[in-house]
Amino acid sequence: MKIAIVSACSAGIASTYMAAESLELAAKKKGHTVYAETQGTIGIENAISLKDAQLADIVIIARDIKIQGMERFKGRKIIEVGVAEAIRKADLIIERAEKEVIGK
Amino acid sequence: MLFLYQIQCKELDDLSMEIAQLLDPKLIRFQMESQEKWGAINELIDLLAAEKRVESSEKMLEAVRQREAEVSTGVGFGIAIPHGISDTVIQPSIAFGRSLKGIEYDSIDQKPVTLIFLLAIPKTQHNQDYLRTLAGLARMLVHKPVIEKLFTASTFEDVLEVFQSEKQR
Repeated sequence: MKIAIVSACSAGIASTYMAAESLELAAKKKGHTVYAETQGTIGIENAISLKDAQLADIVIIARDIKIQGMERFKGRKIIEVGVAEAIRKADLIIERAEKEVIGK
Repeated sequence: MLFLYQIQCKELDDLSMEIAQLLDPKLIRFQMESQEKWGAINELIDLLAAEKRVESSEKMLEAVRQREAEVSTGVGFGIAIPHGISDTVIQPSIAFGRSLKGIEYDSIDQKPVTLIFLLAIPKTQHNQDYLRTLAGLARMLVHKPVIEKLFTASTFEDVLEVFQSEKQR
């Protein structure tokens, strides 16, 4: 499964990256391919291209603030969670993503 | 796959060196006295002030307060990463505290904090490098082996080693 992740927290200094890393770890543990973009104070890193965005089976948005470039994901299945939730419950969120895609 | 792994090694190797520049043995307290959020944050700010990393403790506290007012930086798993960007920061720094008893922190998961990293960031246009290091540190803090090793670290070198050895994962 291809999972696209975008995270952004209010300060953009630490939580954004913890959320991205948590989700990435949880997804890789289950053998998924992951694209994880962070939108923080240092700008956008590991930016997900339109092509990769459209190839994603599911998009996980972990945010406390508005995400830039949501139009890339038009037509994709999207799960939205809070940043704190992403850090604490990454495994559960990935399970939820699997269910959405496989339709279990 | 192997290629990707090597890239990751390099990044993490650099990370521990960068963290070494922001941390200092005098900015670490392995046994925090305070068992309450603001007491603990003040305890770490005092370390920064004593080492002349910040000019004014009050201004640093204010910057941290502003950030905490948005969302608590007690992110769960017993970890807190309070931080402040302020012109009172003389030298970008990380202060690290550990509490075996736990600190009541108003964490997102309501659990007490055992590992607390206070990040002091200067208010300049040129703080991108530090912010990148802090982002790297934050990423490491969701890895269970890192948390476990920080819990048993007893020297400055041990702490750096945690971030160094994680490259072998």
